[in-house]
Amino acid sequence: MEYTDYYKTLGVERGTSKEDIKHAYRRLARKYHPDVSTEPDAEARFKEVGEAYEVLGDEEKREAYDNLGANWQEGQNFRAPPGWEQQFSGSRFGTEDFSDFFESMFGRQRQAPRGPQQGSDQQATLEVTLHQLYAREPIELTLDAQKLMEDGRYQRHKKRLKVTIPPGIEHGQSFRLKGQGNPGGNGGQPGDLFIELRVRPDPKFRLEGSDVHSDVTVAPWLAVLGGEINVITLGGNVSLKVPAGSKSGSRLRLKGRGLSGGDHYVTLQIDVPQPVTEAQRRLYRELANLQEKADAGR
Amino acid sequence: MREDDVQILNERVTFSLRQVCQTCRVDRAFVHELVAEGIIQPREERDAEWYFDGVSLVRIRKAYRLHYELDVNLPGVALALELLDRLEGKSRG
Repeated sequence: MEYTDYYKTLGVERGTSKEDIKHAYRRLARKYHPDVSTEPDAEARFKEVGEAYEVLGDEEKREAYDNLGANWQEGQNFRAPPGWEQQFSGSRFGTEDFSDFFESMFGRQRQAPRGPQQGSDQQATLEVTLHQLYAREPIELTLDAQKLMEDGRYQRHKKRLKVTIPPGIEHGQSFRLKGQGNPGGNGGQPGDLFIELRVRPDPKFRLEGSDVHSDVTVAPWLAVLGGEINVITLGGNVSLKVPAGSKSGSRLRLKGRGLSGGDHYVTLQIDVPQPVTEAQRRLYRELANLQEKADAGR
Repeated sequence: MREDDVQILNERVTFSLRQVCQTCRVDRAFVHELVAEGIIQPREERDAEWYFDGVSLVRIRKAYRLHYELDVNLPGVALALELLDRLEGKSRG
């Protein structure tokens, strides 16, 4: 197994005071707490930081760790020194999810349970594009999970899971997958997996619940006279009738073209084309004259 | 994965206090404290038992983690959740 440099994990020097170690831990715990952090590997980093503090924040464990010597490098192949006895038990941190390195130094942090033990729950974030959400194709998720070994020990591993997004779920909501958390011990039930769904912002579409919004640019004569336009929706192109006399900002609804039964709303943006030719300029002038006359006659 | 093993935790689903405690693995006293702090609100009270929606259930789990993993007291948890909501742009008004 590999040596873990807990000082490096907390970004402090060997010999740093207890207080400074606590400060470093608190700062990093806040930075990587999965509920607060926006870092991509927050969950794994939070665990590493917690484990480092479990050791360096505890005088006895820190002393034992320091006694290994300062010459070890992060990732170096490690074996507990001969005569090493696991004299440690109990955990302030309250999780059994430590690395093999930690367990070889300090023993298993959990008493062997007598009866069935339920597996722990897991938390994950699933970030999807709007198109993935619409298509609802299974998405592969990689989790830092526990595996139950034959001797009843837990070992960390990367668990890969295909997740189907449940219909009707919205951005920011969570869903629970029963029994997809960590495995139970001694025949106990597995824990659950809680997944928070996040939908990445899309350049074309805005999402409001299960309704989709987009802007479509039309020419002024189309808005005045009405006509048909082509609208891009999540399900493909759809033709939409624009009623005569539409204004900029008018909202038109495409029923059932949003997400899971929601609608697609199109907001019209009228774009006035700049005249390029003299003929076009002349027609604009004519339009202006007619408009003036119409206004004067009112 | 069976369909009925998947549950969306939104406003449309309801859990009794007993179910909440079981699902979130917290005790009743903790849920009572969160209600007292205004972090969650029971949706209704039936037969002297509180019922919560799925959004509250997710909030309880988050509050529990912040409280125990970051050692934040409950007023601090309330503040953190409120600010997280604001960042998300889903202010509860």
